Amino acid sequence: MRLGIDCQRLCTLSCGAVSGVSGVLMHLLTRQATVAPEGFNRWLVPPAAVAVHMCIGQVYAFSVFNKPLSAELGIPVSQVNTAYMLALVMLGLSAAVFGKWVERSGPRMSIVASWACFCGGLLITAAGVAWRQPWLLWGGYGVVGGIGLGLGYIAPVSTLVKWFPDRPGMATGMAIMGFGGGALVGSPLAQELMTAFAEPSATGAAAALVAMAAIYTIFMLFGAWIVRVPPAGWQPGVDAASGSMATRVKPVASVAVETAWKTPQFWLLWVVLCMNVSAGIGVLGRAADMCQDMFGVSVTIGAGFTGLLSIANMAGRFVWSSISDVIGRKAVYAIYFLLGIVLFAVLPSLQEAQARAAFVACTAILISMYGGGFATVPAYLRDLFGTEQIGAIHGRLITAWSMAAVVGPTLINGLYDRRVAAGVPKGEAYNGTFFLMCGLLAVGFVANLLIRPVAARHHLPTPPDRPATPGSAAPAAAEATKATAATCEGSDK
Amino acid sequence: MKVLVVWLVVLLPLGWGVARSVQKSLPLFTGEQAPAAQSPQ
Repeated sequence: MRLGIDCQRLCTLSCGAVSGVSGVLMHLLTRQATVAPEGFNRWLVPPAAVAVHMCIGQVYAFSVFNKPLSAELGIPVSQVNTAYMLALVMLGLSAAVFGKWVERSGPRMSIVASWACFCGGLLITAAGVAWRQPWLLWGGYGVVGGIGLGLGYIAPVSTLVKWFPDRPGMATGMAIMGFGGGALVGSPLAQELMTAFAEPSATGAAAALVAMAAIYTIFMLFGAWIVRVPPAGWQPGVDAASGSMATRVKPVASVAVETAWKTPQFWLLWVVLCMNVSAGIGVLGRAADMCQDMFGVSVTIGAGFTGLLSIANMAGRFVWSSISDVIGRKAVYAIYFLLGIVLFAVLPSLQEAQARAAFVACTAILISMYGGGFATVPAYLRDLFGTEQIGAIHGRLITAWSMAAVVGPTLINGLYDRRVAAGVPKGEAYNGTFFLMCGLLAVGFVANLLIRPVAARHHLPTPPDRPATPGSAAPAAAEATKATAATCEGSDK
Repeated sequence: MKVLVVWLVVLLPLGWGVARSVQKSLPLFTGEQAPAAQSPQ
C-alpha cells in the first residue's frame, strides 16, 4: 500500500519535473526569449545565420551520394536524384506554408524545427540505406529534410534584414553565401566520411549520413543558441558608438503577406527570381559534362570546373548583394540580366574558338550572378514590402526557386537531348540551350523593369512603438513609399 | 572577442570547404587535355 503511494508520488514528481523542464525549454525557444538585451552586438547574428545556411546548403552537394545510394538501394541514379528534386520542391512549399509561423514563432524556434527536420531527414535516409528501403530516402531526405530546408532558409534571413536595415543586401548576402558554401563543405565532408566508413560490402553512405547529422546538429543548434531578434523600434546607431548610422536608414512601410502576394510587384519579382535561377541552374547542373564536351578535357578538369563555379556561386552571393546596397536592387538585377544575356550569347563563339580560359571566366561571372540573384532578393522584398512579414513573403517567393529547379533543367536538358538526337555534335549541342537562357533572362529583364513601389494603400499601419517613422500612419506610409522608390532605383548613388 | 570567436566557428569549416574546392579546380589551369576520342572507322 505504502509502496503504491510512493510510486504514485514519484510518478507525479517526475511528470512535474519533465513538464517543468520542457516548459523551460519551450520558453527558451520563443520569440520573447530571443529578444536581444541592451548593448547586444548585431554582428553576432550573421554567424548564426551562416551556421544554419552552411548546414542546409548541403542539399547542393547531394549528388555526391548519387552513386553510393544507387548501389546500396539498388535503384538507378535518376531515382536517387528524385530525393534532391523533392527536397528543393519541399523547400519552396514549406517556406510558403510555414512562413507566417516562422515570423510568429521567431528564429530560434524555427531553426530548431529546421534542425529536427533536416537532421531527422538525414537519419531517416540512413535508416533507408540500412534497411534497403528507397521510399525512406524520398520521404526522409526529400520530404522531411526538404521541410527543414525551407524553415532554415527563411528564418535567419528575415532576422538579418531586421538587424541590418542600413545594409540589408550585405547582411542577407552573408547568410545566403553560407548556403552556397554549404555545398563546398558538404561535398568533401561526405566523401571523407564515406571513405572512412567504407567496408568491402558497403559504401559507408549510411554511416556518413549519421555522422553528418551529428556534425550539422552542433552547428545548427549553435546558430539557434546565438541568434537574437532586435527589440521593437530598434534602429542601428541607437546602440552603436556613433549615431551617424541611424540617419542612413530609410523608413520602409510594411505590407501584410496576404496583401503582398496579391500585388503585381510580388509576381514580377517571382518571375525575376525564377528566370535568374532557371538560367543559372542550367549551367550548374551540367557544368562538368559541358566542359568535357565543349573543350574535350578530362573528367578531372570537368570536376575542377564545377569546383570553380561553386566558389563563384558562393562569392557572388556576398559581392553582388553588397553592391545592391549601393546601386539599388533594380539596377543590380538589370546588370544580372543584361550582362547575362551578353555572356550567354558569347559562349558559343568561345567554344568555336576553343578559348577555354575566356569560357571559364564568362561562366564564373554568370554563376556569380545566379548566386547574387538569390542573395539580393530578400533585400528587394524588404524595399518593396518592409520587414514586418518579410519571412512569410520571402517564403512564398521562393516557390519560384522550386519551380526553376524543376522547369530549368527539364527545359535545358530536353533541348540538349533533342539536338544531340538530331545529329548535332555534343560540343555544339549546348549552343541552343545558351540562346534559350538568353530568352529566359530577357523575360526576367522586362519583369524587373516593370517593378514599381507598392502603393501606400497596401501598407500596414505604423506601430506606435516605432520611433523611426514619427507622425500618423498615412504620412509615414507616404514617406516610406518615396524611400522605397528611391532604394529600388538606387538612391544611395 | 566574442564576435571573433563566433565568426571563427563558422569561417573555419567554410574556409576548409573553399580550400578543398580550390584544390579541386587546380587541374583546370594546368592545361591537361583528355585523350582524343577515337573516330569511327
